[in-house]
Parts: sequence; structure tokens; C-alpha cells
Amino acid sequence: MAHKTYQYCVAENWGKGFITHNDAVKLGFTSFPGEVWRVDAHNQNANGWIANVKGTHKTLSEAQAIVDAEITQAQADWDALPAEQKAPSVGFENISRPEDITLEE
Amino acid sequence: MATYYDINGQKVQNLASDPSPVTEGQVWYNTTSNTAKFNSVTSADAWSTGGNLNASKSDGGGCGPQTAALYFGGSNGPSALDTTESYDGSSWTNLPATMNTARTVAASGGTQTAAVAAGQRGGNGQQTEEYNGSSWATGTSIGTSIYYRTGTGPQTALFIAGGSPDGTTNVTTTAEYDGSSWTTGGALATATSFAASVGSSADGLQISGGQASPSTYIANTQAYNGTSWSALNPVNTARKYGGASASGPTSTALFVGGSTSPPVYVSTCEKYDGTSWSATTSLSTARSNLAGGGTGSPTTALVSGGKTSPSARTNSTEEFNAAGALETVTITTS
Repeated sequence: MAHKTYQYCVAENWGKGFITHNDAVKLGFTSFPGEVWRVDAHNQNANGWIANVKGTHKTLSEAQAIVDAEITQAQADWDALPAEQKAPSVGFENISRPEDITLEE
Repeated sequence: MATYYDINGQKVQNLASDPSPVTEGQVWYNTTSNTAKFNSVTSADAWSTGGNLNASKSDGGGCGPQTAALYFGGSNGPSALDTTESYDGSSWTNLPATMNTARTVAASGGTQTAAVAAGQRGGNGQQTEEYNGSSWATGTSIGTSIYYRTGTGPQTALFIAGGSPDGTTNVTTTAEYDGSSWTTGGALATATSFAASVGSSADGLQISGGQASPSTYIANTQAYNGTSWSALNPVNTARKYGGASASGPTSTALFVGGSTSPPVYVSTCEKYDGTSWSATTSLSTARSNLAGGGTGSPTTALVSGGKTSPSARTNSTEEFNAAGALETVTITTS
């Protein structure tokens, strides 16, 4: 069985104090669409942080499903744009279709 | 059990709000939030979350330090914005003052009581506006129409450099604003669009960037002394639409976020020590087109808003405290 590197949760970033400096010194945090957060697995500090922010633990597949749903919606929104808004043009250099995100175990 | 008074010979102060300035080791009880707090020295570089903007947006102007910042203008996707928000170190407040022209901002800087916004990020607008702490007034037009240029500085020493007049070929043009008029400055060493900017027209940096079409990425760092630009060592990861912060830009700076090729929004953060760039702790939310960078110091920076995907914007704020910086910590028990 593969060793898990990360664990996932869903938590609302309420702002100041959600991730403190001390949290960030101890842990690496990565956010994904759908208020999905990735922190280290098998880590007491990570478990404590999830509890403190009242996060809801998600398995990899559950977290992936949440992210997929968000990306699918974003892609549908992009697809619905008029063609002239999707094509790169002067002043709108940085427009491209949202890409799929694959979460790591 | 020994009390705090027994150990330290003085009582913990009861204060309605956090003290300012605060000294290392100071302990107090905030009677408004009902929390005990102390001020300590941070042990390592880290990004923590700050208060969320009142709306998700990107490409706005930003200025001020962690405890007294502004975010103005920008875009929520469908619409350009004229709003102004102020930050007190904990939360953002919508201010009644609105910009005269709703737009993204190419160059910004100053303080909560003396801010400046010039040009249009991504576009080729020429507007200049000045904020005096209560309202926005129009300033002198830049006088040239150039896409993708960037800059920063206070009201009386702002620069804006690079960009592309036709949206393709980059130029080396620099313009300087002294609070009343624009003049031509020295030519960039390398023509660049989408750079991150720190400092002022007397002592500034243009960091990384690229070209729009064909899309290229440039890792160059360029320093301005008020007369001419010179090349410094490049960043490790070339990016467009990044943010930056510095206290003495030619000696120390921070370069954070942005987009790499193909357009991917990154959380990467690099520090400049006066000679070279090195990686430091990353943002928790990858983003480009972020505001300002919380100019003021490379040891206590602030980033807010930005794009997290081509179609998504965030309202989140992150605060950078370098190792050795003072930080207020709330005491919790569990």
C-alpha cells in the first residue's frame, strides 16, 4: 500500500488567524478550488491545525471530486464565453482555459 | 502556582486594542477580543493568512505595510473596479472613496494617506490618480499609451517602465512622476513587460516579466538609480504578473507569485539579498496578478487578491514574516 504524503480537508479561510505564522513554520499549506486544503499526512501539527480550523477531513478521492467539480464549472464558464473573449488579444494576454488539477496522494 | 506578577514583577496590561508600537517579549490582554497576546521573534520565514478582502479581485493597485495597506481598483473579471479598501493588519474595510476611473492599475505606491495609481495593468490607459486619505483626485496623464508596463513608488517619486505600444514588441521606455508631471527616464537594460516593481524612481527594481506575443518569459532583474538601469542577477523562476516588496530594493527584495509558461499560477517566493535570488517559503494560495506586494519591507510583506486560475480570483491575503521579524502571537490553551 502506497505511503500517503498528504492529507486533505475542506475548510473556509476566514482570514487572519486561519494559518498563523507558527502553523506555516511547522507545515506546508496548499489550497485548491472548493476550499480544499492540503497538509502533511501523519503529522500531529497538521491534525491539530485541521481541528483548530474546524476542517472536514476528505479522502484523496473525495477531495479530487470537489476540485474536479470546481474545475468543470470553471471550464464550462470559460467555454460559454464568446470566441473573441477566449482568443488572446492585446490587453488580454493571460486568458486560457482552466486546466484539470490532479491531487497527489 | 506562581503568577505572571511573581515571575516578572509586573502585571499583564489590559488593553482595548493591541499596542503600537510593540516591543519584543511584551505581553498583554486584549479586552475587546478577550485574548492574551505576546510579541515574539519569528524563527523562520513563513506566510500566514491575513484578513480577506471584501471582494475577490485581481490587478488592483496596492501600497503600504502589513498594518496600514490599501487596495484600489482592479478587476473582478467582468468589470473593472473603482473601489478602495484599507487594511489595519487584521481586516479590510471598504472605504467610501472611489477612483475617478474604474480600472486595473499598472503602477501604484505610497501610503494610506498619500497613494498614487497610474496606468492600466494589461491595458494601455494613461490615467494618474492621487489619494489623500479621503478621496481620489485626477493627476497628470502619463502621455503615452503602452500595454503591459509596470511600476511603483510614492506620489512624488513614481516610475513606470517597459511594456509594449502595440501589444507585441517590448520597449525600454521609462516615465517618472514627481507628483505633478511626467518626464522621460532612463531606458531599461532589457525591454520587458509584466515585471514586478519595487522601490521608487530614485532607487527601483524591475523584476522578471516577459513579452506578450510571442509569449516569452524573462528572468532579468534590473535596477534603477534615477538616471539609468543596470542588470542584476536574474531570478530563478521567470514569471509574469508577480508581486514584489522591498525596503532597500537594491539590497533586499521579495518576489512572489505570478504565472509561468504555459500559464500556470504559482506560489513561488524568492528573496534577494543584494547579490542573488534564493527560494524561500511559498504562498499557500498560488496566484498571479496580485496587488502590490505590501511594499514596505522584505521582512514583513503582504499580498492580496489575484488570479488563481484564468477565470477565478481570490479575496485572500497572506502576510510574510521573515525569520527574526517581530510577530504578535495569540495565546491559546488546549
